[in-house]
Amino acid sequence: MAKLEQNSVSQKQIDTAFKEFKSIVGDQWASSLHEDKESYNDPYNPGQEFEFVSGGFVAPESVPEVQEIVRVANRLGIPLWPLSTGKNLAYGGAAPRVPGTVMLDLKRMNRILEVDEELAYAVVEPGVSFFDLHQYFKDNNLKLWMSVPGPGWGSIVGNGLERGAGYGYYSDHFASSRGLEVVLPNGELLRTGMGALPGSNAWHLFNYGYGPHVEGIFTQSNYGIVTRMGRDLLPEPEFYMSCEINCPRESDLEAVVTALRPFKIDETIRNSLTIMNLELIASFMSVRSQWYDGNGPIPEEILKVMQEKLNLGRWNAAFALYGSEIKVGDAWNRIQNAVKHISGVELHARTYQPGDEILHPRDQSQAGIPSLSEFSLVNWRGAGGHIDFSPIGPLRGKDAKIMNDLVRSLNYEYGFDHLGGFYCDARSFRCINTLVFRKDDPEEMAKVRKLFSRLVSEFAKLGYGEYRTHLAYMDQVASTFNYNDNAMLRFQDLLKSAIDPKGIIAPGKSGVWGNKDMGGVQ
Amino acid sequence: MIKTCGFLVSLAAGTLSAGIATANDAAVEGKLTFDRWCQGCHADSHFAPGTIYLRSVREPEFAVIENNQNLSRELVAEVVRRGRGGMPSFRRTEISKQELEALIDYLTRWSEVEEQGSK
Repeated sequence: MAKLEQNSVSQKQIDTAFKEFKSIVGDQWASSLHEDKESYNDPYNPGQEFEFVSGGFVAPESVPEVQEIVRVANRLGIPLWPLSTGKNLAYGGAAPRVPGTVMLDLKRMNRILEVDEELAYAVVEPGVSFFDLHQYFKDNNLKLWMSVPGPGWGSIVGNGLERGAGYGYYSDHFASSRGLEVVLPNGELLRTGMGALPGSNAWHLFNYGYGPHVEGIFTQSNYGIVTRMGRDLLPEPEFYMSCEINCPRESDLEAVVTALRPFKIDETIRNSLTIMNLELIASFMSVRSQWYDGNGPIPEEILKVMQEKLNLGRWNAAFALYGSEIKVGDAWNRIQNAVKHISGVELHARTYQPGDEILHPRDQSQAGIPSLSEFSLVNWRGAGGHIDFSPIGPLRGKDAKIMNDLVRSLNYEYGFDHLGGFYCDARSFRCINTLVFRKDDPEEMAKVRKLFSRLVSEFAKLGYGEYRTHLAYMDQVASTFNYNDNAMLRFQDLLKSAIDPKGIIAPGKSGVWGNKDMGGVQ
Repeated sequence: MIKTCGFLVSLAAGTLSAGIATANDAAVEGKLTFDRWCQGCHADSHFAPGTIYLRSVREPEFAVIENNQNLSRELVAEVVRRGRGGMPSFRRTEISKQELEALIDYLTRWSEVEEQGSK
């Protein structure tokens, strides 16, 4: 059976549902008016503006309200798409996979439930943004740093559930989250890990609980609605150094990845080591027309001008060192020695101690100060749309080169600039490539669609799969994880059928639909 | 150890804005909304995405929207709710109707000054 591409619920059911939703949350917090439907779109969709338009919204402000809404939806067969702050930008924003799905907007659930300075963690609801938590630290003079992603207006919970990365000490945001509260598709409330023990003293402190570990199944998934999450924080370090290593040539990528890998593996570099290309960093601080206004990718001679004027390398590694001054100084010395063989390499370091003002955007983000500075990339070509292609690779120079060469050549083939970078964990990296396009140019968007689809398939052939993707590619990406006749997808669909037999929660999220009647593979 | 429970973000902001608003005017609440939702992109800064873009396509006096004396109420409402160019839209659950009105008052405060000046 074809996938449920359009919500097929009758108007009568929808009217009944909204009447009941309003009785739960109040008239102003549920609506199926046209303007409200359109307010949950993907502003950067490479295609029609309202291709993934919602069927209206309901916005609870408490867990019992979420439970009631889910029970109503289950009874009436109304699909719900939960969103925290709706800033999953480049991957679909606030929009649902299936047009007509009712948005379960959790932005009003914006309580900071707990901040513990002694054990350095926070517990928040889905509507709390990185900006919100940072403001709370400032207001209460708390010496705690969180890891923040590029744009700071996203949800701490939502970004964690999408398994996003940030720039701080605990840069893998789901790995540094623990203790979830989840409303299941039948309306029941579940607490994970140690939280399953009533009165637990370590709900948000210990990675596991007892028996099978289930937290991961609520990430990038449609098995439940997460209403609470704990997140690790870093006590303000006594010394902080922000480091940059700029390599002058395109061909330096392999060498810099190889040289820095040991420092990621032994955790000398604990935060996310990023290695970004010239074009990506240029897009954070300028627009393309300042450099070049022609069609096709920016020519090599212009890239050289950009490199010189912006005082950047073709590849630019950035990371932070935290701790005592002695520890940081020793680490920086060892790292400098490891990269000095790269001809023409430039090294920069800025140091901070408690009380120092931090102004540089990169240094802010590594110190847990959220901003929107990287968001400039959407304007690179004007009328900005963007979508991210984000495959995972081993933290080896040769893999970085293979992946970069392929994505760059395909971008060039379709006439686009290549804005890319590597976000390195200890043994792997996220190879993030931002396809920036003009939203007012249908031909260009059609090219993006073709290019993206080709990237997914070409990379899969080489054994590189995406860690996260846009709504339009969820099925395609899921289909590449097809070992043993789609064993993974069949298992995920089986779980969906068991947990959510009516397919109420986020149908189609990550390519998971449920049983065959709902469009699943099994 | 500092351990805090039950802090509500919007309530705290509301309390702050109410306190100042009594001493000043409605546009002050708009300034708070601006600082919370708009400043990250529209500050007078070389790192603010909206300002960088506007500087590339408009005259300097239009680039920093907080200082732009030519914004109309309709334009602000339209851009906030529907987005424009690279700017996404903002929903009612993010910027309430009341906050949007206050924001519009703040960003169009020049017209009021002009009217008073001409009397």
